[in-house]
Amino acid sequence: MSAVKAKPRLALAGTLTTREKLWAAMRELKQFTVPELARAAKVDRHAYYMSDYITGLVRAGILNKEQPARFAPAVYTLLRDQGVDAPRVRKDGSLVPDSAQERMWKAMKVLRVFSVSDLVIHASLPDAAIAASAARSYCQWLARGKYLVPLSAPGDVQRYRFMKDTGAKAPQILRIKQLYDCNLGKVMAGDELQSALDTSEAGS
Amino acid sequence: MQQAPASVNLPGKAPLANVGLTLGALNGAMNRPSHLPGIVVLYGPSGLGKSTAACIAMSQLRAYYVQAKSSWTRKAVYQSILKVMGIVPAKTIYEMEEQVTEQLAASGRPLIVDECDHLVAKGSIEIVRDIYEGSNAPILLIGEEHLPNSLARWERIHNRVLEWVPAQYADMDDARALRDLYCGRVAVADDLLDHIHAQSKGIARRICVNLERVQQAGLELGKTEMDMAAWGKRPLYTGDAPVRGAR
Repeated sequence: MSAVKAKPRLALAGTLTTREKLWAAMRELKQFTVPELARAAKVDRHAYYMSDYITGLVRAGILNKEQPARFAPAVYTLLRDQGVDAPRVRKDGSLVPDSAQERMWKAMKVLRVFSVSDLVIHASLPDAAIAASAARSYCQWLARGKYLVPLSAPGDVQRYRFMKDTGAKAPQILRIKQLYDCNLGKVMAGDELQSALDTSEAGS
Repeated sequence: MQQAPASVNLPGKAPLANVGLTLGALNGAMNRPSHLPGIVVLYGPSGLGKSTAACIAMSQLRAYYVQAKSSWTRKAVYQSILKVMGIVPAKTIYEMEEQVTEQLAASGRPLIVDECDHLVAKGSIEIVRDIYEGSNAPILLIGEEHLPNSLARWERIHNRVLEWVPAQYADMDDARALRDLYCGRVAVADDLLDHIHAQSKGIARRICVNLERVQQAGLELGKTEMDMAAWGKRPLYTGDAPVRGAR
């Protein structure tokens, strides 16, 4: 088995965010400069601001940064490979817990039949509580997407049954801005899904 | 509506006995000295909140959780774990096992296997040992009351168990903790809580359902506190159920 050409054995399923593409490329390269990384990950580094993520990883001690010479591009080395999931770091290097929606998505698969307060209790973290309103609106969205079936019994609170497990990643409620022309009845310009995904990842 | 409890189930300070036991045992396995084994077994009759305790452990310790099914083949075990990990599964069982162990070892995250009885019945519990040996990851096995006995037949797994955790029936402390968690908007008086606890026979799942019903009734009646007098002769949920399989 040639180590150079072997396909990465651990690849994330589904649509990747730009950070996940970068992380996958980092795991493969082990040592890289920013242009090399952008090429390997097929990320346009003029369209996507990579340095926030890279700085965060360096400060978290996951990457090592070396400046071989003045004006030469910095060389980064992967110090701690944490598996297939892209580490969630802020720019200052602090780690971000899984988003509330991800935790709820995982918890509802375990609970299978649950009320909103069940979900809040089982998916909250000591330092990242989930508001009941957020949990309720996420459930309503998932019910619209046929992931959940609302159950109602008289004298009981609203419960949901989990129906459709599409995978590890939580379905996300995205904000996508579009320019819509009523005269033509067409969307003339708008955000790509990828950029909406990246925005929601950076904001969470 | 913003009654989201701020400091529920802090590790080591969990209000529910089973949650505390599960978190403690799994934490112990995650931080064990390298010469100790890393498998933890949580067992007990259904309805005591084993799976919900595992759910909280999953959220807090970022564990991978899978629930075994009676139809599971060796291949299905690995495919299900890889699905939870969000990894594209390889073609052969051998490669999938490598993927699972590689990800567990690299991420340091624990694995929780619920309903282990199915794996024991099919004799595929050895897979757990393969995964454990390959990754050295902490693993929590969950099953019914007789799980320790049936695991005894598989000495190679039995030897690798760090801790056996019997799930507890909910006592009044647990009932009070559940009341604090579930009834943020309507106070439930102690006499009614006693009644609920007695009717629910220590099954945590039933206590939760009943507490939510009481709160709902309180809201409908426009009361801020519910006691035995206010609840009256309304039936409580004691077993046969509009809510099934909620575990």
